[in-house]
Amino acid sequence: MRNRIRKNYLRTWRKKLGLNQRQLAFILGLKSSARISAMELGHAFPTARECIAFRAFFRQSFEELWPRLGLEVEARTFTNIRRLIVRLGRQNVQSVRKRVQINIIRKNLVSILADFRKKQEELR
Amino acid sequence: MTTILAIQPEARQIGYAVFEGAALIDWGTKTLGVAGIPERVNRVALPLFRSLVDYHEPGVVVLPRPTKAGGTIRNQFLVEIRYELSNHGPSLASFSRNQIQGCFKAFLRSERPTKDRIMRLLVAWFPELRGALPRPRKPWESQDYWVPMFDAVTMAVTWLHYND
Repeated sequence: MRNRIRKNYLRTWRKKLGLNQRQLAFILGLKSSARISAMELGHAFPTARECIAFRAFFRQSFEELWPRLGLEVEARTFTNIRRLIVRLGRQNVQSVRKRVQINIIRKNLVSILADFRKKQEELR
Repeated sequence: MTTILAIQPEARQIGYAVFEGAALIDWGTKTLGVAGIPERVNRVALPLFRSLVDYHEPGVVVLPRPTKAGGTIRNQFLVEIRYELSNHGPSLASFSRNQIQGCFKAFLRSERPTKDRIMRLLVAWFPELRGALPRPRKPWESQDYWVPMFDAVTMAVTWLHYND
């Protein structure tokens, strides 16, 4: 049995309020319903303005409406943090001031990663 | 959390409901048109089914039992779906009218589980369906447009009742 996270819940919340795509587009100040359709099908992602509008209108955060995208972006961000930590460790810096600065950055990044791992374990 | 897709094909419309756990996340009815049975099944019903499976990626598909009459649109559609899901994809479940009524008898207690009473109970549980609730049907009236969708919701609730 497959159990995956759905693309988004925009369609669910729109239908819960009994709106059609054109009416939701009007509320967001869009000219046509094409963008709403694209967002519902997962072909397009909301802009920052649209995220704020959805939060105000549906009272749902971005992570609740787009759980898969939120997780994907989070995972990618933390992969990049891990890469940056490795890259900073490999750098051969002569200046003492710069070395101290790199160590501070690495410490900060490692603590962010630890917090993320703790959060993931709590979710499990 | 299992995603459940329930589909109720009728002669004129096809109703569907999608649940994620106990939460109703998608529902609707689509008109099949007035063409012949193969066209209604292949041009409207099956593409709708495929798009719902692609979009929601259900773990279970709940269908009604086939009718005794062989060539009905429901039976044709069920044959096609069973063929499509025979190799891979979500698991299949089907319920007879008696099983559904047996499930709702427990919720309605003293009342007889008629379609109308079941629909009213569903509206009490899922207020978002209130706009689609048809008025009680007179014997000379044809079935309302939204009834197949309520039947699909009923089947999904029956699956949840027997499995969760």
